[in-house]
Amino acid sequence: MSGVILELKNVTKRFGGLTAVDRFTGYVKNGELLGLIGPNGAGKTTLFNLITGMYEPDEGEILFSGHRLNGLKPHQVTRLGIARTFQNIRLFSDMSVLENVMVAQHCKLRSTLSMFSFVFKTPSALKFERQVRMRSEKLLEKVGLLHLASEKASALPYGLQRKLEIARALATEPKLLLLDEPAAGMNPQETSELMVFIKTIRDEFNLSIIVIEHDMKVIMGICERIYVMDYGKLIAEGTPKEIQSNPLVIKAYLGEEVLV
Amino acid sequence: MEVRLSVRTKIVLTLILIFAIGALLVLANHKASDYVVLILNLMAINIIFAVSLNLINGITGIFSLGHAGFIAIGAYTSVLLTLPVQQKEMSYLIKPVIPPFDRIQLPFLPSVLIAGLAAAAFGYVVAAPSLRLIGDYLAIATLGLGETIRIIANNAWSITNGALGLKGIPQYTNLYWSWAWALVTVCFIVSLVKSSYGRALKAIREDVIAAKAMGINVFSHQVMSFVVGSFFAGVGGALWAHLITTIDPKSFTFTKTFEILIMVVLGGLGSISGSIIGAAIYTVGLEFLRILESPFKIWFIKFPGIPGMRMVVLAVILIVLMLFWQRGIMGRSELSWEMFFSLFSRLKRGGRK
Repeated sequence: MSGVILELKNVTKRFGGLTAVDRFTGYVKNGELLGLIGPNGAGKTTLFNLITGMYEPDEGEILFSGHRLNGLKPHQVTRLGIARTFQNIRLFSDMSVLENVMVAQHCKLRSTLSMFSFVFKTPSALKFERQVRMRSEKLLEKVGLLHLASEKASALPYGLQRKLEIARALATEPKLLLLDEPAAGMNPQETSELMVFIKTIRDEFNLSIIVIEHDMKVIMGICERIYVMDYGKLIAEGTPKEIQSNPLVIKAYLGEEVLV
Repeated sequence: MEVRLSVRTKIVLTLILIFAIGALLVLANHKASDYVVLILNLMAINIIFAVSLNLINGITGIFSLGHAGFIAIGAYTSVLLTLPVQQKEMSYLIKPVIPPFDRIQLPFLPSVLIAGLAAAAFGYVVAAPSLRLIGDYLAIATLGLGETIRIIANNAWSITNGALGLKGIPQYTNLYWSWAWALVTVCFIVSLVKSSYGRALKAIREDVIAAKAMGINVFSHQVMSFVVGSFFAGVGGALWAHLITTIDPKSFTFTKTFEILIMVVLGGLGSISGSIIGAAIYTVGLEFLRILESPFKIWFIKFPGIPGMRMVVLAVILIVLMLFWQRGIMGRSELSWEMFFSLFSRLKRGGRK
């Protein structure tokens, strides 16, 4: 398939007797904003961990723009162009906002620039440092955090910490961005700002994005296509409209009653 | 008030400070008593130990307790290289020293460098298995490694002369060597910490999983930090051996590690300038407290001199310090010229903001 950036084929992950992800097959198109929903424990975050190399799939295959991701380490996956955020924010809290974004570009370092070239301040190392700082400041300006650049990450309010986490992921220059519950704990005002923000960065950075989210307003508002998981299995796929009226989805979420 | 200084001003000020310290050292070398010179030497060596341990423990967040082991490797390696051939024949009574050490004698500088490299090589070898562990387990494993080295030193008669130790080491270490190496250590580690690599190391300390997700090869960076730290521990060990002129395995028990750990924690885990301050305070303080061990009088109460009293008092002082400065004197921040000048201008305005 052309135009497909990520492909999952029969991906399975077991933890002891529990099958967290059960023969998941799916794909993400170039530039697509894909939603991934399901009740708690459905295996959504596990799927993210499989894609990013935190876990290795027991069965199946993950393909990312021509590369097989099975068995790759998380840092190798990131270097190929997949970045993520975490369900519970994982910023480098004792480092400044700017440093958080700068550190994400460490992976752009070519192997010829060793530790010694930085210690002895060779011209190419200094050039790298300058570029990293410039790119980071530019990125912070784009997401509107530049005025907070020297603040400690932990000093930011919750909503901005989420934003910084996304900015940090963007600093690795990904082609595919995985957002794990970006709206968790946000108020309605912050949530609608986030929705605009996600769409903006998708267009500006030419990204494909997968969003895990429990807030249906977010999912239905921004996603072009949705996968629904339950007990590790893919139970439904479709546009927001189709998903809203899918009886299987309604059953998984609400039991027998019809609401949504 | 914020004080802003240009990079050039800061470099000039730093160079002036280095020259001032250098001038003081020249003065001390000519005028000061042997005792003061010894303390100043120990201070520089402790700075090397503390800063190198801080790179591993404070910056990278690997809780390593094996520093004494690396110091031992540095000390023994350098002594094997510098000890005069005649002295070797006299020292190794039980078993002669293994070749080629029975015939070679190298100058000081190459010996120190080789000592550092030997410690670094050993650090590289032990890093791989022990870094598979995290937190407390890593601490225990590295503690065990340090002790293992000491026990090997105790039994490898043909290399270390076992429990008899080595005596008559030429006293090559002087103020210039020790402080020059301290300067090299601090400059090396500061520029490393300030670079992209340093940010990666701090990121690993803050959150390993997030660091991985940001494309940082956590394992290789931890190994790098461990190797650099053990290189300078080895260098410090070589300087130390050539200062006190006699070493035996008992010099490298885990109390040596804890001594350095105290300096690092006192100064602030994760702050290089804190480690320097911690090492200086600890070295001078321990000597200063010696007055407690000879009879003295406060007002009209007479105190007899009790040997070992200074360690008790030191412990109390440390407990009090840690109660009030839980993150050490500097926390995780670094001394800067801006800090110095803003303090200065605040004092000038009589403490008014």
